[in-house]
Amino acid sequence: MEHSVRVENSGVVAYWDQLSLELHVARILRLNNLKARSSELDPRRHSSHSLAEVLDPSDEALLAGMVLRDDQSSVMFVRRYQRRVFGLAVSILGDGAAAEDVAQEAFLRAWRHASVFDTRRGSVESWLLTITRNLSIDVLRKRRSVPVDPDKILTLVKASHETGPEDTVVTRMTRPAIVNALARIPPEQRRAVMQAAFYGYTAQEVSEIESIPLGTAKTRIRAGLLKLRSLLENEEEGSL
Amino acid sequence: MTNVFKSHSEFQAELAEFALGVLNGRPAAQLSLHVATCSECTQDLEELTTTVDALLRVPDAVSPPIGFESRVMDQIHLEAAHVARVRSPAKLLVAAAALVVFSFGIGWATHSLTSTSSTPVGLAIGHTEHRQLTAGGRSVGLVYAYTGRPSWMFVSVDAPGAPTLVRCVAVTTTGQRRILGTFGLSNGKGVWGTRLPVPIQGIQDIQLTSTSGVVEARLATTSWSTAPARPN
Repeated sequence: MEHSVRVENSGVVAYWDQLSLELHVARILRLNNLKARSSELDPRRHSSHSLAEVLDPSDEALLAGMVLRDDQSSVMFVRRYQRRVFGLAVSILGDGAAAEDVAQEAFLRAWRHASVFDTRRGSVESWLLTITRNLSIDVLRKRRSVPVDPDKILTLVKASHETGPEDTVVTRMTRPAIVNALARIPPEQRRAVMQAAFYGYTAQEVSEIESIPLGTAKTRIRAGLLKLRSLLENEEEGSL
Repeated sequence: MTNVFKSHSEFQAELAEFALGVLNGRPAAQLSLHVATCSECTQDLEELTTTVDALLRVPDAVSPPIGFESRVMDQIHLEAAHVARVRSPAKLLVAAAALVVFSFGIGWATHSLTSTSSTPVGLAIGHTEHRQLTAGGRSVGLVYAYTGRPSWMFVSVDAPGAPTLVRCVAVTTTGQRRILGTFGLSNGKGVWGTRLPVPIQGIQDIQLTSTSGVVEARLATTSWSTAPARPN
């Protein structure tokens, strides 16, 4: 591996070097890590940061690998997010077969559009979940006949609200915190927010489904989301 | 016809629907234009979008059917074969460079190709700078930093004899030491990067230490350019 960084290059090229290097080095060190894991006596296993945690390429590095058609990057990306993506799709659609189609398409689109992902717009996970959500809504709209109960999503969430490995994102908005916050906003506001967030219902559609004036539907969506934001911000401040 | 001369508070009232991706057509276009020129709405939209993003993480993670990964890779290979027939390696490199451009803030306008909830987020744009890492008076690596917000840094190390695991520590301008992370070196070589918890201008030194805290390397010079203000 050529390690030296061509500092005379433009920032773009130099950064590209860095991303490529990160991928390459992470791959090499991952192999080392696998060897280390085979030894129960490896002292590094007992450090505060596990090697797997430290050496996992960032999401951005995996996307960079995907742009370069690196299969290993794609596989790692799919493995990292497949449970989260499929879980969201199956929650919205309630149909495993359709959810798998959506999840596959979501990963294909992520692969296809990896080069235009912009980290300033949020995390890779949020980007991928938004793709999944939009694809699910497209499927819903094609086959929609009976409005879905928006509380269904919440009832499907495990009672334990445990934080899983997929929750190790750079945010303090943990799933239990979000679920608790949802439970604390007025039910009619929660329904409106969930209908919009998971089923893509516009305020007009919410007003028709709930048999309420359009203005009331708009108010419920806005008030619900603002309340949710406020509760989550308080949660974040409390955890600092 | 919709009144194009909406007030700030009228636009603000639509931000939640916009963040949820359920505001379409002309109202969405008008709001986009307003947000691009209103720092308050930009900030509000950013926070509401973060809340919506959090909502999408509520459903339980569920394992897909066996073979899912293979089926995804089959589709990717199929598409890659198709793309390879129409795209040259040079274009691939341009696409790869574009990712870096989009990731690190050179360029501004973009949109999600797949999302109906386009949500421009007003983060300060910066540029990239690099500083040398030194140990005992000799250069042992480089720190690349993106001066915008959020700030990023990548460190490249070539320090024979360095520990196999090193900590990257930021010393803030207020004197606080913050561990940014730990990464591995192979024969003293390695690269690592992270998003910084504070703007780079608030960091006066970046150090690599052993896991026991011995400083192995630090920046040769410690000042960074000031980030430009948020666009509004």
